[in-house]
Amino acid sequence: MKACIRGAGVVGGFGCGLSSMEEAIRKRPAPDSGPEVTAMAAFTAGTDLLDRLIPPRTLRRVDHYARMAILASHLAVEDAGMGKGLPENTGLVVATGLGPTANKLDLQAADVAAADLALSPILFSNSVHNAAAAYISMLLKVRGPSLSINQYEMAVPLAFQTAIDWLEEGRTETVLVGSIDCFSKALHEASLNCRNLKTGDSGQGAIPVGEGSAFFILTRKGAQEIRYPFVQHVHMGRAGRQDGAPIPNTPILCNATDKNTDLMGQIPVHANFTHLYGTFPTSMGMDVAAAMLLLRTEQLLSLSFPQFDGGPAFHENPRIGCFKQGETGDWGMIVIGR
Amino acid sequence: MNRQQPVSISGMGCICAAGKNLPDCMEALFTQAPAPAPPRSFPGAQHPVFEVPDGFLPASNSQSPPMVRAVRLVLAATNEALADAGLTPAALRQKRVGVVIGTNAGGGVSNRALQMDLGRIDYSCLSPAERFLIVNPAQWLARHFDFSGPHVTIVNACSAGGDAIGIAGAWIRSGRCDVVIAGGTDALYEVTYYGFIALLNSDTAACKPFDVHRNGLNLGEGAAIMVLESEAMRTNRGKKARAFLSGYGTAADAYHLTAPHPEGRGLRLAVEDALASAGVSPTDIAFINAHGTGTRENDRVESFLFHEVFSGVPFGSTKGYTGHTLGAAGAIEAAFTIASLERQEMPANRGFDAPDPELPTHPVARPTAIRGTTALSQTLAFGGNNSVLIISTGSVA
Repeated sequence: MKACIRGAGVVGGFGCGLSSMEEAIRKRPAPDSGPEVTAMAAFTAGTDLLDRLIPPRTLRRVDHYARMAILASHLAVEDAGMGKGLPENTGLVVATGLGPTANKLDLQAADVAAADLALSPILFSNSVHNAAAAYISMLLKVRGPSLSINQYEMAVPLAFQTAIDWLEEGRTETVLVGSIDCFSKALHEASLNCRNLKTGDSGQGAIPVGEGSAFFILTRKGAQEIRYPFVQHVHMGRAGRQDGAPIPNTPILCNATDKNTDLMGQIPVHANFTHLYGTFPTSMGMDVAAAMLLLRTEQLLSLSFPQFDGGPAFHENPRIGCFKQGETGDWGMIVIGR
Repeated sequence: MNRQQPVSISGMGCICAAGKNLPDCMEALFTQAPAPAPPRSFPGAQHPVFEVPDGFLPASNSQSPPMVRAVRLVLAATNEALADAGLTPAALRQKRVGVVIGTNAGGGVSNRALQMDLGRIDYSCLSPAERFLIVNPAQWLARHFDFSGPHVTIVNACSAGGDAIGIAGAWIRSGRCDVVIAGGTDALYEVTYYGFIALLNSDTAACKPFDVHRNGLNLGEGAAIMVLESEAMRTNRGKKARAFLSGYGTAADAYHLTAPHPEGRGLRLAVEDALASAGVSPTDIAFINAHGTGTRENDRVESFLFHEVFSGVPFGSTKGYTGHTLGAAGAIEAAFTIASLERQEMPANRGFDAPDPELPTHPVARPTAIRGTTALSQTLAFGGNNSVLIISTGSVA
């Protein structure tokens, strides 16, 4: 089943909202030759805009991780023109690679075993992995099925697959599906250390770390006015197994790293936007939003894939694959098409 | 919600403080179960827990990645479930086998090693992927057994185990998988232990679900696994189903981060969806395995729901035998529900002595005979998640 994208909201190193992302792509289109040589800086996301959408008092106990998700989900609702409210039985699927990591590290930094009564109940509540989903459901008043997925780099395709399953089963008519990961200095330092790098070092294949959130409102195909492409397919597999190769004649957006080599060789036309939002476990959510924009505006597509000429087959069925192969060897691809 | 095709459950496994496998657990639920005690793993801690004896666990090994306790628990349950289903890893190599596991701590624990090393400024062998591999139970099982299908860890807090089974049902019905290994696992963890104490939700004595003197939960640990199988594969190999997953409902309270909605708004929606997806009515339900944590609010919400929707249907909580096993609870209690249907008897609600006059209905105080082939098991969670499973034994149309 194809799922219709009614609206999307993004928060990342480039700013907030699809227009910010589009502007960033226009200014710095994706390089088509793999990752740039980049200083190991981090793309962090600002959420000040949220204070204009929701009274700050309401969010006083909410951490940065959940703030990004709340902002992206509200932007998706606004983009879909559903500001008066989502249907009450709207489903919610939240994908994360690492969860509220910075929070969890803070919590573990407290010597909990020695000072149980000093443990902050608020910090503890925010450390539970479905906290972001809980805040979103409370603020948007959605009471449909709710699922939080923690599957590192494969969380995004699994979340989209679940959303499509729910639509197909008739469990709900509308699903808010999104991704979220937050930057953590400790994790970043650990990653650098594993590669014998230090903050500020450059290196061939080095990719900036990022953080951010991307949310999408999906409905059954054909139910509404079509402004965006559809989610055509979700594929998942594992490198080395014959369980579905990347599709032909389709440009691919990927969050490429130097570990992606085996399957990347099978993808002749690929680009990435890591120079706009960095890389993080669920950055594929950002790629889906970028693919939507590229398919909506031909100029952006040719800017991003300057050497791609799909010919009649592509023009008949224009689509972009968003691909990620994880460090575990698993790969996932979400195909967005008109 | 459309009616869903039932999905076969061809095998089960369970490990918790009550026993090292499902038959032992059931024996404990109807005879002599262990009492909670201060945790051995957190020196000086006083709030009692239901800890799994180390002797129940499969041996830790020197595998890479190493096995954390939650993985050892789920591996034990998976081995039992596969044997119960009459399946071997080798026989599954050519099948599309998925893995869906619920857990509470999830990837958070993945940084525990990092935290421990922070003080020593030693980050060796601590890439995010490595930490993730160590603690993600679905990833670990898929890799250990070389399963080829999709695998996912669900982190819906305390309803995660029930949700995992519900999601697995969809994977079978969609034809995506021939078999799905589904369930939940959680090990005792300092952050949750002291977190519940900080929230004033932890009892200093044995928990008393639905009792007038109830004063909070006891944490527990454990894992349970169900083998869900396509009808085509099951009938091809002539295997009788132990039970069927007939219905699944899930809904959010959209109310509070840690407290249930006072009128059980999301829980009611989840129950309605579960009944509709199973094509059954409340009068078809033989008994209910309640979430029944022993906290004031949770038990009150459930009691009112049972009174209003399932009047006269016997219900009980098994937390008095296992403690609250968090992300494993939905799966462990689904396994108990099936085993209870098979023996046509449900266990007593351990810890319940004095009825609460403010509650409209009360759990069974002693082992109780049940009649019927369909039962309901429900879990409520932080974040306002509610998950309801409807399970049937015998033949299902």
